[in-house]
Amino acid sequence: MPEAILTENLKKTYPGSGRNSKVQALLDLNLSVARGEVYGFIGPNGAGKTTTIKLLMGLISPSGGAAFILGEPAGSIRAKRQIGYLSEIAYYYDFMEVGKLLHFYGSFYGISRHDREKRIGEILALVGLSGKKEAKLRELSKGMIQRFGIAQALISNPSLLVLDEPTSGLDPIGQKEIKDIILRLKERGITIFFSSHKLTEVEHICDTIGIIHLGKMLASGPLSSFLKTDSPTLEEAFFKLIKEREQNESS
Amino acid sequence: MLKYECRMQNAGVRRSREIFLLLIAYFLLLIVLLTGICFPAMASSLQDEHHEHSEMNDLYDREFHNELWRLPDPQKFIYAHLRWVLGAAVFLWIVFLTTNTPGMMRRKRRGPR
Amino acid sequence: MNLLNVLRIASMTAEESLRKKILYLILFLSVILVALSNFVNVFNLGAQVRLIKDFSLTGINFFGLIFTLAMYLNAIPREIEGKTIYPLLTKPLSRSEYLWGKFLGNYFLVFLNMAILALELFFILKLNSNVAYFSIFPCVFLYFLQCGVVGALVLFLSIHFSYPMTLSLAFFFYILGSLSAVYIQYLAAQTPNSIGVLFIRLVKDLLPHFDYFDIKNSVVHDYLIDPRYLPAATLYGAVYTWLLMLLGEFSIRHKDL
Repeated sequence: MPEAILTENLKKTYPGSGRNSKVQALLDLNLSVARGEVYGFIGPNGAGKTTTIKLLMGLISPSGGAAFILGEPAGSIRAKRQIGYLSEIAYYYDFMEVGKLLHFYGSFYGISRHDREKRIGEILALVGLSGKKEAKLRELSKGMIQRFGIAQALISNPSLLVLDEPTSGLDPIGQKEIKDIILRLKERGITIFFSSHKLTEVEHICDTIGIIHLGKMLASGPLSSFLKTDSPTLEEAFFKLIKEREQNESS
Repeated sequence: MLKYECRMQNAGVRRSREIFLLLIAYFLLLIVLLTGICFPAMASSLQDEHHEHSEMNDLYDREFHNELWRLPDPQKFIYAHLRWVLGAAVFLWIVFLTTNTPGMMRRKRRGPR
Repeated sequence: MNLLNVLRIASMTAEESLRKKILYLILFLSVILVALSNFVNVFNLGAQVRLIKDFSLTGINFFGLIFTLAMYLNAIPREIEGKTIYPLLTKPLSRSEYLWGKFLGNYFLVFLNMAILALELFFILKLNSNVAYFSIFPCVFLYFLQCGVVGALVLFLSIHFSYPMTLSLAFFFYILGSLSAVYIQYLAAQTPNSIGVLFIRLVKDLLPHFDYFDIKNSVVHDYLIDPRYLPAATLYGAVYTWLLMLLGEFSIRHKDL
């Protein structure tokens, strides 16, 4: 059975402006996410996390290499049928009601109206928005909109959920709510790939970690492999790896 | 370079390129319009001076001044241009159908892991 | 291409666009303009009817184009800037379906706008002369097709350029494309060198011939229109719209969002 996510020497170069040379956002990224696991994709700001996710979702084109989602080329319609996605900065049609917008997004998957209605009820209960079905999106708080984002990602009952910094901009209560939702989804066996720069959050949720820095994969493996005697927390392991990399680069 | 700086610099360069293209576009428009204004004036002054009635002046008088509202002949004008437009559209459509979309990378056959 | 997806996007686009206040303002101004022609009462009846037709059809053409620009200029850039495009394009929806949906959704509103104005003009003429001037409908229909070509052109340009640049280029192409074929023939005949002829012909042939959509003078003066003309112009408009949309599909397919 193919991996949930597989990238082979994935590259992305952004064109430079004026006299500035091109920006190498990703360089030979090799990533492998097995089905059923919760994969934490971490790195500092500007490391290439969002670029990687956008490439996986087909929002941008790679400059080289290949990416596959559940055996299908990333960005293809077949791949998109199996994924749910929550972007880092998510905006929706705020003049629409929650239920109506979920119906709209769900309609692209060929789900019948009756099944969609049932599914929407279940999802809203899962994300804690049961009483907000008739509310317009502009009436919701930031935390609620983020939970709506997860709801629209789950509308098709996807095999893979891709979340780009799902707790970004949320207060501690909002962050806990999102974390709880992810844990509930983990129990259901959905493969979850999420990027974050909040290491404690990643440490509590994920099975496998991948650390990206300056467009390259620094390290990838089970969480336990990162936690050693000299770096008992993920944060310490992360800083150690970054520091080693920077020392290697300068030498 | 930070992502934000890169984006702002790109936006600035894009804006100056657009202004440059815009200036060229309006310069070309000016040329076309001026030729339209100058040539009839020159033609009529030449005509007065030399009392010449060329074939093209007759065309101008008949078809432009007096019969401005006469619609172009569909066969001669519309279908003539439509041939090329349809050809270009069909060609483009075939290219579109046969080229890959960005997401369509080559599928690799991999065995089960 | 999944037509249902196109219709879904079209429906959402129309619903979103109906919320734009500027469209109601343009519609209101155009309705007033057409109605104003009814109150100019200095001519005899025959001239009065011609005046109403000329004035109103010019207004319908002008406001139709303004309405089209207002609909299409920011249709895609706003979605990209506002990031509402991300939740859409990560669904099983191709970029082509999305583009066609945006085009058709806004085109439906252009149709409604022009239908309202055409009916208004029809009733004003009936009121003034007690004659049903059905000839205005083919004229407005061709203006509607022209708006489709302009809309597709603006949509294509807006994928590449910023708002002011798209507006300027659209204006530029419309001016050049509106020069009559006979006028261009005359220019070509007068230009002494072959490079000049080639340039003028190239400019004209690459652009849509917007003059083909204008039968106003024939309608105003009640001239008989060649029965081959309307199908030819309709086909021309449809094919040109398709060509411009194909260019748009190519552009949006490769655009990094």
